[in-house]
Amino acid sequence: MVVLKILFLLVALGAIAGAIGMLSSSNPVHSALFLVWVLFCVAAIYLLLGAEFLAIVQVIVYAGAIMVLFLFIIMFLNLGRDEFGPDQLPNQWTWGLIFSALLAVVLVSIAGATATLRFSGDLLTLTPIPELARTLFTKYLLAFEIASLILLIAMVGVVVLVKRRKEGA
Amino acid sequence: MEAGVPISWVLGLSAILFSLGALGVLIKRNIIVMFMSIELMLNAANIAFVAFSRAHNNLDGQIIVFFTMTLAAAEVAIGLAIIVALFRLRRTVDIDKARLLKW
Repeated sequence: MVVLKILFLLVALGAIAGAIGMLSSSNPVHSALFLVWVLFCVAAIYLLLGAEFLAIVQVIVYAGAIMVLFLFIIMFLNLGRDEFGPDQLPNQWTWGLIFSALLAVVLVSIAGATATLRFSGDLLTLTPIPELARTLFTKYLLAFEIASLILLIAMVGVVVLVKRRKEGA
Repeated sequence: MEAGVPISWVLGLSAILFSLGALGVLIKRNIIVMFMSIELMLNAANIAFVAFSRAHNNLDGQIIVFFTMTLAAAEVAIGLAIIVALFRLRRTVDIDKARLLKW
C-alpha cells in the first residue's frame, strides 16, 4: 500500500511538473508536447484509481487524436516561434499568479475537507468494463445518442468555419 | 483494509492542475496555449469525477468522464477551426490583438 502512495505521488508530481513546463515554455510546440506528457500522467492516475477503460480512452482520444490535431494546427499555421510585440496588458503575470494562487488555496482546502471520505476496497481493483457498457447503453443511452449528434455538428461546423468562400458568391 | 491513497490527495492533485490551467488562461497571450490550458482544466475536473466515482463505488462518474472526453474532442475541433479562421483574418495568434468585436 505504501508502494501505491509513492507511485501516486510520483505520477502527480510528474503531472504538475509537466503543467508548469507547458506554461513556462514560449514555444507552442513544446507546450503541446508537455501537455501530452500531462495527459499520459492523468491516464496513469486513472489506472491507479482502477478506471482502466478511461485510461485507454484518455491515451487514444486525448494523446492520440486531440493533441495530434493541436500539433497539426500549430505546424499548419507555422507558429513554431513567438513573434509577439510588446505586452499591452501590464502586470498580467502578477495578477494572474495572485488570482490563480487564490483559486488553488480555495480548491485545495475544499479537497482537504474531504479527508473523511475514503476509497472503498482495494484501489487497484479494475472497473468491470461490461458493467460500464451496460450503464452507458441503458441509463445513459439518450446522452450517448446526443453525444454522437454533437460530434456530427462539430464536424459540419469545422467544415463551414474553415471553408474559403468563393469570391462574389 | 486501509486503501492506499487518500481521496483528498487525488482531489488535491485535481485542484492544483485546475489552478495551473486557470493560470495559463490568465497569463498566456498565445491563443493556442490558452486553449491547451482549457484542456488541462477539463482533465483536472475529470480526475475529480473519477475519484468521487471510486469513492462512492458508483459508475456514473466514469460515464460522465467518457462524455466529457467526447465533448472535448468536438470542442477542440471547433476551437481550432475558429483559431484558423482568426489567423486568416489577422495573421496572428496573439489574443491581445483581437480586441474588436467586429472587424
